[in-house]
Amino acid sequence: MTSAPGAADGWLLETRGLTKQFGGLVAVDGLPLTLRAGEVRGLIGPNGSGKTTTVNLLSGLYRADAGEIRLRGERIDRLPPHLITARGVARTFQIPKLFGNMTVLENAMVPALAAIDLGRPRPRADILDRARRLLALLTLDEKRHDVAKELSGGQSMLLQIARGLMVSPIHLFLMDEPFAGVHPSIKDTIMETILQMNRAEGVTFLIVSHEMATLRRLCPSVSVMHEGQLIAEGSFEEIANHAVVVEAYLGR
Amino acid sequence: MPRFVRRVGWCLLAYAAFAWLPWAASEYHTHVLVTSLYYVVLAIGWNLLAGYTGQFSLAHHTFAGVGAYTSALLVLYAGAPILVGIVAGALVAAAIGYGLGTLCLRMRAIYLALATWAFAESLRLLVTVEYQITRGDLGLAAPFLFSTPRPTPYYFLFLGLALAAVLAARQIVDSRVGSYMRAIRDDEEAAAVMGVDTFKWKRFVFAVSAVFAAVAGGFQGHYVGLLSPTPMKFNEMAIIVVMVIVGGLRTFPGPIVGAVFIEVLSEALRAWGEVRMVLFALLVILIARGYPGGLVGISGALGRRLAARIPALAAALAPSQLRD
Repeated sequence: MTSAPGAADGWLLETRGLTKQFGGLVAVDGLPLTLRAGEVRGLIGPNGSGKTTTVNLLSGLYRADAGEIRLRGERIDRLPPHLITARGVARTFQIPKLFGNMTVLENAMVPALAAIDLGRPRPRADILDRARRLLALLTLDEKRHDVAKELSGGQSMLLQIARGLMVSPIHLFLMDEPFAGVHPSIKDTIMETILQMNRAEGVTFLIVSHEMATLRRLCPSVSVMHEGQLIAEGSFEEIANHAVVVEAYLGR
Repeated sequence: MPRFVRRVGWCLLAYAAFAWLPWAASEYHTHVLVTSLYYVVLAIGWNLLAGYTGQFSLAHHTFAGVGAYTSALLVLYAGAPILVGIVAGALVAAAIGYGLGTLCLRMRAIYLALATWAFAESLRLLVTVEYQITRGDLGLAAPFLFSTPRPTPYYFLFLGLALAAVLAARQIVDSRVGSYMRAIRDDEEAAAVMGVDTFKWKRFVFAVSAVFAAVAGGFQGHYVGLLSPTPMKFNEMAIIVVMVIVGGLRTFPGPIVGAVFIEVLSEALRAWGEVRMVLFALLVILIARGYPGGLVGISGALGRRLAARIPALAAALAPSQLRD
């Protein structure tokens, strides 16, 4: 019955008391974060508030010092990254981390090939077809035979997203600053992709960003972090008038 | 599977194409060819680890020693048939490679190089010190595989081994495991969060490359007939690194071209003695600075330049550039 409460509450993702310290610095401090399946949630907060650390904890790159993470009711906070991915969690990095010497298409194929090793093979024609459709959606299909390190910064971000969407099944997509420093037209492509994947496949998104205008169009609700803690949650209108948030952003 | 069958066909053709060489060459030159082919197997194995997976191990030559000593000791003390000895050597090397891979899993670049180097030196000293068993620097007499020290039969053996190594490496590189390896090399964290079990596959490549070295070393031992700890010195590792880098690190033909080129050059300049290492070091610096693709990269660039001038050549070269 240990896994029942999270599942029964209907949360896709639920963290309790999630904590990560680096030396004396508490980067994430008892974070309670909950996401419903099918949500597009923004995660905002001033620089150094623990947003990226949270994403690293959720994707398994960091191991939590305390607290727990449940995905569809199952504890995932002690799993290595590839087993978290196997349970349907994908992510992007703020500074794109691609397989630079592989082609765009080969990059996109890695999650599908890795799934074979995890005992979930799919027909090669199917995964190739999905890769091509995702690359087309992210305007990269023409470049599919190009070596990834030759892509521009914005294109690299697009490829990270296409590659992440190749994780199958995909329940939760964590995006760390997907709009930082990318061209407005690429920003539009990313937004359209998020909305389409959310609508068509029910993918849940957690988007770390500083771009309030973009988040406002994407996310019905946002969570606000400050000094490792969750200080507010709600619609933009609610948090914009939230005294603690204003104080965290503007100082006293 | 048809692709595999086609490749076996190519290997058989290549075998036929090179099999006549001992009749054209002197016994000495045949010996040089046998040694070249031995290094081809070693270099291909190390390129899988360092070139394709980004794990810069400096213990590759040690696994050749593990293969050679395991086999010779089993044959001498237990009366095992030589082929049994070589299989045992490969298994022991795979186990040690797996263990070493496990120890080095979380290490990055320089620490991995240092740890594997320390391991290599320890094993060499162990072989030297345990002279009651290994006869240390006096040398251990390993029985000849073909009951002769003449190189010709060994040439046929090593030509087969080298082509088998080429085939096996090609199969690995083109498989999904090859994708995991290159993903790990390019960005280990990204590979992990995209679902690749990075620890498992790093260990796997460690073990596989150790087997390449141990099989080559095992047969080499029963060809040379005298084992000593000398080839377990760092010089030998340096030569393998030189071969792969001069040939073209991360390229598939690089280690093959580099191994033959360096071994033949090394023999041609035998009169220079140790000065050869200086030459090789300069060669490595030159290539690392100017032509990271090595000889393979240079000839590719030359080919493209020629093709730009001669349209007929462009047509001939085109298919090789269509690969995904």
